Amino acid sequence: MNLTGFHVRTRPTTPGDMPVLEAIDLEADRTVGWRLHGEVLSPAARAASAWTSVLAQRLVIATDADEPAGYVTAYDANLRSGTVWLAVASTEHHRGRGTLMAGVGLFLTELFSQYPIRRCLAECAAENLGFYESVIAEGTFVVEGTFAGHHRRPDGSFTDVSLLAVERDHWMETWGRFVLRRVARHDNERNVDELRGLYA
Amino acid sequence: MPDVELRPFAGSDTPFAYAVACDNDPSWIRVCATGLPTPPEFEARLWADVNALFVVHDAMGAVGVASLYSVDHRHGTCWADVALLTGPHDAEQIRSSVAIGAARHAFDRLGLRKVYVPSPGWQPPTVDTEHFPAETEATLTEHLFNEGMHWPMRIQALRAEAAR
Repeated sequence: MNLTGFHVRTRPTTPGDMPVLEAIDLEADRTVGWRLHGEVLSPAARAASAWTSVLAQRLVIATDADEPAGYVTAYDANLRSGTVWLAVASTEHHRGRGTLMAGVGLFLTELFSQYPIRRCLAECAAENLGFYESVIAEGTFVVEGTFAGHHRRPDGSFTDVSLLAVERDHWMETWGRFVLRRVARHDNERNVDELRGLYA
Repeated sequence: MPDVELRPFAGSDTPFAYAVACDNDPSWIRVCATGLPTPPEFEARLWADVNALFVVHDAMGAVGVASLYSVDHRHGTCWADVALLTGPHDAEQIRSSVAIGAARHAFDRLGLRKVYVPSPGWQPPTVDTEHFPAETEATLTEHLFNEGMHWPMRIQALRAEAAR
């Protein structure tokens, strides 16, 4: 299921998207703070890592310009416990504009609708916490811990990384319902209609 | 603290590690998150993203496996996990000793500054804070499922400066 919203749509990543994913990673120097643990991988290793331990991955397309705004990945799923980790990477052009967050909203709705996942967690660097301010304030995302001094900055100082959690039940009763009833379109409307019935 | 030794893991130790996984797979979250893997899958997961892998020995012999994984040299951090056979040994104290020993390896051999140790809520926190000033930096609520219940997962942080 790939949902389309007002300004964004999602679609699965394919091997043909590797140059796009790589450009997004390198543009934001993702190797410093993201899943790559500070390493610069060879193109072959990068291609392999893009799908390693991944449950679902979507490219987020800004529909106005029909260009990638970033990508979202659900990885390290624990299906016994119903948990998964979320990684979000934005292009610099769309950073702070809300485009990717709209894509995250579609992706979480897809994820919680299709998999037996009941909670999703994300690491969030202190400098990015502001992007989640409103959803933290309303209780959709909960800060469940903070790794003090986790990231080393170029000047030698350290910054924190917070762990955010979003619960399926809360999401689908609030934003998920909004996405399905007001926002989402889909090439197979029957799928969305069925989901709307479930979360009416 | 019980006397334990962390010996480097050899390929011939893989059957023992698989026995540990079969013995208590819900607790070995890193390797068994999606259930007990097949032996070939297990071997791949055992080594994936791992920087140091040990067999844990106490006076009775080999009792478990420990690893340092997700090493981030850029930020000086890594994660440690400990999986022990169930049995008559003092598992809680051994688990704590092993986690502290693995963390010291990370600090003294790998030059890292911070080690995270997760522990499932049905066990006491892995690191006994009487023996090392670990801090619980995150408690993921109802994060794990075991024996029909949801349990928290605690993440303790050990810092290099506290080890010196």
